[in-house]
Amino acid sequence: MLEKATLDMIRDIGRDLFLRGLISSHAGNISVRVGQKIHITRRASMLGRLDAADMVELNLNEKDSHILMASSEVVVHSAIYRNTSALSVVHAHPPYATLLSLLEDEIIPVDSEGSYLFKKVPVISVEKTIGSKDAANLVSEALKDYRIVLMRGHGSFARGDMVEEAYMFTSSLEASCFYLHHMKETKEYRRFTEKYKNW
Amino acid sequence: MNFLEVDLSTSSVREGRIEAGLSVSYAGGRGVTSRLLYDSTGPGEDALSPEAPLFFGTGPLTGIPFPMAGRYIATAKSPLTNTIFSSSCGGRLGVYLKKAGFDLLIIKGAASSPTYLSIEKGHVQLHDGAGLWGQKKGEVKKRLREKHGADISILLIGRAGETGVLFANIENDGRYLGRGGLGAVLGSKNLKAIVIKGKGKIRAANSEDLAFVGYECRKWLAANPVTSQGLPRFGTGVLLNFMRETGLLSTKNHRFPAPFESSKISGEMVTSSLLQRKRACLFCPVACGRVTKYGDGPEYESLWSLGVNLSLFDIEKVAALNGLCNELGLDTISTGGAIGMALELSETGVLGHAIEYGDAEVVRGLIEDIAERRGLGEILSLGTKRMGVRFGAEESGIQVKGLELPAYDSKGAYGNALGYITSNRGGCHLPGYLIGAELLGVPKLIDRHGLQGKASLLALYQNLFAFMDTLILCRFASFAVPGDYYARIASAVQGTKITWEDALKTGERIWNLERLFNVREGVEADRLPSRCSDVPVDEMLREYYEVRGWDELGVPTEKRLKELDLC
Repeated sequence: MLEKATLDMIRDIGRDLFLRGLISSHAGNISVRVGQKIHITRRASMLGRLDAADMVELNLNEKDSHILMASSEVVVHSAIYRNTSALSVVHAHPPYATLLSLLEDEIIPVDSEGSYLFKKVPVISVEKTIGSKDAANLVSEALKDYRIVLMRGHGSFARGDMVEEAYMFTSSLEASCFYLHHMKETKEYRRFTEKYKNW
Repeated sequence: MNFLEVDLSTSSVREGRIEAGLSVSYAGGRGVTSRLLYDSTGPGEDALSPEAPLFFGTGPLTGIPFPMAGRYIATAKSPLTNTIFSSSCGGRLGVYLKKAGFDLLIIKGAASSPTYLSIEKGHVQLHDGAGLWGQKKGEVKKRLREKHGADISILLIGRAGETGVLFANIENDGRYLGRGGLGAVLGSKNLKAIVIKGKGKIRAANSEDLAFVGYECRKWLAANPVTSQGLPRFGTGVLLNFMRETGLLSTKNHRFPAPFESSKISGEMVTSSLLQRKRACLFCPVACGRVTKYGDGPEYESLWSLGVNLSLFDIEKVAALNGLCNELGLDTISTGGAIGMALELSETGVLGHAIEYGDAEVVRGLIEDIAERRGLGEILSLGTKRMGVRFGAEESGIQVKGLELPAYDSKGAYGNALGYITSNRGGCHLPGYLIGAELLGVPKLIDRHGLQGKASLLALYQNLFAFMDTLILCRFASFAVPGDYYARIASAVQGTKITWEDALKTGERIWNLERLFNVREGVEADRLPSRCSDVPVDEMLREYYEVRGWDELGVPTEKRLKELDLC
């Protein structure tokens, strides 16, 4: 069982993801790690309207029957927790970020907040973009060294020490991609863009 | 890594290199010194025996002008806690040691009479220190500078280190290896001081990358009001009013909430009424150190331990007591803890001395008695755990594993309380510092009275900070600089790619090694003082052992140790 404070935070962030347009009605998923268990949103749940019944508790290292109800992306979330020190994961479909993931191999924000937070966001490509082992491997590998990663044409996976932090990265990346998209034709102004490629 | 080993028993010196694999697995400072201590001591050895080694370790960053990196680590078995004990200091010894061509200084053995050590211009020499023993620190420093020049780093113990107070500290250029009684370890070796001078140039493997990461770190430090405004303007005392307002400050030996008049001795008051100048460690843009007419400090912890804790709210008197502890070489937290307990025992009639809270002269006398280990000071000099046994009043000893708790009331933040009981050096906030997340919102504010997930978060930060202590970076950097940056710093300075996860795994390896040391020593179970028994730590502790991959008694499992290359 999740503590009320944790559940409230997941519910509020699910709502914010939806209202901010970072997911469509039944898309996206959120999870937190508590010890050797993860709590992940239910498959086909509406993140904008979560309640306690929408959270599924799973053992990180042994599958059990609760897997029936878990998000389609549970394999990716589990791989992230097994391979990194993440304590929370937010997966969303931020429109501008997803659009740029189709056009770029990496995102280097030019806005202030994005530059401070990310420096660089990798874009990974997989054929089976939803819940595949390839996706799980590539995303968890990238998150060993980055806070957020984009899957080409699909969306973002952010890790955090707490769910609020993973949400912040998701939200900030979308803002960065909004600016990047709209200034494509303008002159670049931020220093060190070349250096950030090596970040 | 180059080491310099000084055996005081034989007056011999040995130079060499530690095996290359050690610096790969443990990176530097805290990691390497912990490994060396673990390998070179056996269970149950007296921390004050001549055989007990004391390590001064530098990290890959030491000597490079990188923000907040002018520090070093000292590691030994603590005579106070019998645990492994690493302490970080912002004095110049580490930088000068590195510039003199050494990454590590190992002190072992014991001199037959008072001695001091000099390392300068390629010469390592032991000197007769009889004339320095028992002298005031100012006099000792004056004589050493007259003999060795002004541009030296001086590390020294005070009277408390000479007499073997179990919480004696070590001073180095106005900064302190404060906790755990490392000053008593030096004193037991008859080593009064170390003088060191170093002129070499230290370079990173990839200077250009390191300069760039440093630039990015400075941006974060400048952007965060904790590191750019609060600490520079008010010192660590900036925490005092905030902690009182949030209910984390207690008085009279952790029995009551701190009163409003605590604000009379806040960081704001130190700045407005006492401050002569700020003090920064080498390469630090924050400059949280304070210097007043009473010397260095007082820091937040001392304002609490010698002030609020003892019901003393006169800033001049508290600063003077802090100055006295500095002069005598006493850890202020443990000193205030021991005196706070004695005053409580007097109040409750357990102790046959008519002493009361709020009397600075009584406290001054007790501090002097502790340093000389005379009268009531003799038992106080052993710390609150042993005081509890002696007086049959264990419940009044506010300590974990023998280390007196610092200035954050356990009841105010549950994750921090879990940090106290799982800290490998005893009751200390620094190894995991969940105060950051629970009170200061670093990286995000969490419910300080929540339980779920605290264990995982604490373990993560304990690993991260253990890695920071290997690089070696000031803990205060973490207020502003995100966790993943430390891997990029390490990559640039060492010239090999280290991921964020690699860095955390190194930290976890160090944490487990320290735990193994304590398990080998038979250190007591992880529990809070009985006075804090209303803090619900049991559930968090179970989760903590699970996250760590330890058994139900808190012993690292073979499986986990194999994963960490520890067996």
